[in-house]
Amino acid sequence: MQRNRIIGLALLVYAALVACATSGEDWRTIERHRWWAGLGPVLPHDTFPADCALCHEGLGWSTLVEGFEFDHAAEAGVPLLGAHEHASCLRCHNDRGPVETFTARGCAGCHDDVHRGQLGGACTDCHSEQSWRPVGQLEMHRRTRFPLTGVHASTSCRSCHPGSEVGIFAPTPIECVDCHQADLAAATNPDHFLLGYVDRCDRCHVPFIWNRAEVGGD
Amino acid sequence: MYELVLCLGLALSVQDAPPSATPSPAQGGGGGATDEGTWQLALRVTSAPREGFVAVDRGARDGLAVGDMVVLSPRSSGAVEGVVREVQEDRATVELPTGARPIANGTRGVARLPRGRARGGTPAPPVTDVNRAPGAEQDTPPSDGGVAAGAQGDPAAGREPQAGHADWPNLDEGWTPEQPLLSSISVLRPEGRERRLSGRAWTSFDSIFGADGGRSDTFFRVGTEVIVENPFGGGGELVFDGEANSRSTNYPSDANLDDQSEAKFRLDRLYYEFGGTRFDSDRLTVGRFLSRDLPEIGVQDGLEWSRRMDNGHGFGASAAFLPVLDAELDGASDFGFAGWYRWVRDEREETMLSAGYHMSFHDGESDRDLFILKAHHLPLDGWTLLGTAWVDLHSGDDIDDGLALTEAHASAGRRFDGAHDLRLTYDHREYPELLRDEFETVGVESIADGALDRMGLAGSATIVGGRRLSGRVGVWSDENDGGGDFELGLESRGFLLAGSRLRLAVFAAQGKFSALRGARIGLGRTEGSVDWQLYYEVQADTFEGFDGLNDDAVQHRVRATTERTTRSGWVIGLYGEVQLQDIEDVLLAGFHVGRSF
Repeated sequence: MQRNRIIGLALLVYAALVACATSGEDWRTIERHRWWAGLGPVLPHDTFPADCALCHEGLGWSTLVEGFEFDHAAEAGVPLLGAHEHASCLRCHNDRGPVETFTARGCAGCHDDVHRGQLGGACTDCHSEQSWRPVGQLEMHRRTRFPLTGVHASTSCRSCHPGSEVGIFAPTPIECVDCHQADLAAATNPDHFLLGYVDRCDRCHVPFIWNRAEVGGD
Repeated sequence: MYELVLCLGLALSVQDAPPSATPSPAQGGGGGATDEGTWQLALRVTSAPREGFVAVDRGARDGLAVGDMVVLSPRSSGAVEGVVREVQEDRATVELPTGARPIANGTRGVARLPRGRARGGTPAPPVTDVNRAPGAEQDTPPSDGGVAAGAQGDPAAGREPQAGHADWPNLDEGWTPEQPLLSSISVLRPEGRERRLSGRAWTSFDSIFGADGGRSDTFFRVGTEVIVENPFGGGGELVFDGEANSRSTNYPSDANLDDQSEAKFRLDRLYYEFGGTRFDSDRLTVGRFLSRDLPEIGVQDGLEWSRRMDNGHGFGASAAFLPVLDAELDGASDFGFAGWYRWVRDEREETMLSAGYHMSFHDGESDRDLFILKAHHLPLDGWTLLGTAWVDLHSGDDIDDGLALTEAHASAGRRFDGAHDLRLTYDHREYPELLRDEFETVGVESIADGALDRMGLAGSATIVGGRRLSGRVGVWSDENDGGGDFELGLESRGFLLAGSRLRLAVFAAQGKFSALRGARIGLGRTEGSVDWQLYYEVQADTFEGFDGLNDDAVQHRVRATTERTTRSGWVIGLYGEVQLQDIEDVLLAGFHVGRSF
C-alpha cells in the first residue's frame, strides 16, 4: 500500500511538471526545417565562404586542408567539449537526421545506450567527455541503499554487478550472501552452515577487512 | 536624386562584370544554349570514385547519357574533356583522358547535349536568354533535392513563364516558396560518400592492492570501436566494438580461497546497418547491435527493421537472440521478438511518445512479455522531461498475475538562464521473474515483494564571484526499510591560480546496513592540455546491524589524477588512490591511454 502511495505521488508530481513544462512556449525550440526532404548538405554551409578550397582538398569532400580549424562555439553557438573537439564533423552531421534534433536528446542522440535506459540521460554525472571512463562511482553509490564503505569501496564493480563491464548494474540484490556465497561456503572455522550462520552476516562482520570476522559482543 | 543613385548603381554593376560576355559554366544555369544543335548542362564534380574517373552531380533525369562529352574547368589548369561512361538517375561517372591530373571536388563543368534531349529524355526547351547578367544565377540545384537555383522558377509553384522563355526544365523536388532561392553546394548521398573509417582504440589498467598481504586485483583491458562508413558502396555503415581483457584476483593465504585469473575477448557490437537516412526511410540492421529505438531490450544478435514516416513517426520490429548481459555476452538460449511505434509531435521530435512490446523465450519456453513505454519532451532550453516504464505481463505459472510495473525511471530538469538548474528524478525497480539468467539469483520472496523506490532532487546555482553552489537530497524506500542521502557542495574557479578549481562538499547517507557522514575537498587545475586533480575525503560510518561495540569506523581517501590530451586525439591518464580504512589499508592505481581517429 505504501509503495502504491509513493508511485502515485511520483506520478502526480510528474504530471504536474509535465503540465507546467508544456503549458508555455517560452523555451527555445529546435529549428523546424525541411532537412528530412533531403535539402541542403549535412553541415550547414550558408555562412561559409564560397571558395571550397579554403577548407576542402583532395578528391573527396571529407578531406580538409591541413591546419583546418573551426571554432564551433563561435560559429555554431555550441562548444565541443572533451573528445568531441577532435571528432570528425560527419560523426554528428550526417544523413541520419538534423543534428539539432539529436543533440536535444543529449548523449543518447548519437551514442548507444548500453545501460538499457536504466540510468537516465545525465551521462556526464558518471562519465568524463574526454576519455568516457566513469568517475565518481563511490559518490554515486551513496545515493543507493548500499553506500560503499570499508573494503566495498575498493572492490571491483564486477564482484557485485556481473554485467558492469557491459554497462548493466541493476537489479542487484544487496543481502550479504548474494555476493559472498563462496566466502560463506569456505567459512569452516567455525562452520557457519553447521551453526546456522547463513544470514544476517552484519551482526558479526563489518566490511573493514577482507576475510576475517570481527566478532560482535553477542 | 533617385535617378542619380540608380545610374550610379548601374555603372558600378557594369564595372563589376567580367570582361567576357559569354557566360561561363559557373555562371550558367541548368542549361545554356550553344548553337543550333546542342545545349549546355552545367554540372559539378562531386567525387573521384577511382583513378581516371570523376563523379558529377547530373544524371539521367537531367538529360545525361552514356557517351556525352563533358568539359571540366579546373582552377589550376585548362579545360579537361571527358566522356560519360556510367549514368544513374541523379549522377554520372565521367572518364578523364589518360594522364589527366586529378580533378578537385567542386570543379565546375558543362556537358554538351543534343537539343533534342533534355531532362528525363524530353525535348529541351529553347533557351534564348544566353546573355543574362553574370551572377544572376548560380548553379542549378543539386539533383538530390537542393534548393532551387537563381532565377529559375518552379513550375509546380504555378509561376508563369517569363517573356522570351518556355517553361523552365528544372523541376526541383520539394522546393517551396518560403525556402531560399540560392544554393551553392551539392548534396552527397550516403552511397556517394567516400569510404571512411573512424572510431577509437584504448587500453587501461586498474589495480587494487590490500596492504599487509591482503587481497589484490588487477584488470587489464584493450579495446577498439571502428566505424566504416559506406564500406560496400551502398551507403551503409559497418560497426565493430570489442575488447580483450585479463583479470586476476589473489587472495591472502589465510582466506581458504583459490586465486583466480582469466582472459577473454568480448564482442560488444558487430553490425551492418543501411538506410535510416533522409534519403531512405527504411533502416535494416543485421548482426550484434543495440536497438536505436528500443535499447531497453539490451544487446541483440539478429536483425532489426524500422521505418521513419514523413511526419517523423516511426515503427519497427526485430527478431534476435539475446546474449546474457554479463562480462562474456555469450549465450543463445534466449530469443525474442519486438515491435514498437513512436509518435512525435512534429518533425523536430521535441515531444515523443513510444510504446514497444518484447516477447522472449528461454530454451524455447515462453519467458517474458514486456511492454516498454517511453516519453520525452526536450526543447533546447528550459525543461527536460524523460520517462521510461517496463511493464511485465505475468501469466501461467508466474508468482504474480496480470500487469506489473517492474521498472520505471523518470526525470524532470529545468535550466534557468544557463546559471541555475534543478532536476528531479524518480526510479522504481522490482525483480522480474525470468527464466533468463540475467542477474544474480534472488529468492521467490524477493521476486514477490522486493521493490525499491528512489526519488532525488538536485540543483546548482551560480552565486557571487562565479562560485557555484550545488546540492542534492534523495530518499529511498524498499519492502522493509527506508533511507536517503544528502550532499551540499561549493565550487570556486580560479582559486589561487588561473584555471584552478576548488571544490568543497559535506555529505551524509542512510543505507540499509550503515549510515555515514563525511566531507570532501578537491583541488584541480586545467593548464593547456593537462588536467590534474587532488582529492581528500573523510567518512565516518556506523554499522547498524552489528551487535558489538565497534560498530563505527572512520576511513580516509586520498586520490590524485592527471590526464593529458593532444590535438591528434590522444588521451593519457594516470591515477593513484590510498584508502586508509579502519583495519586494512588499500592502494588503487591505474592508467588509461586512448586515441580517437
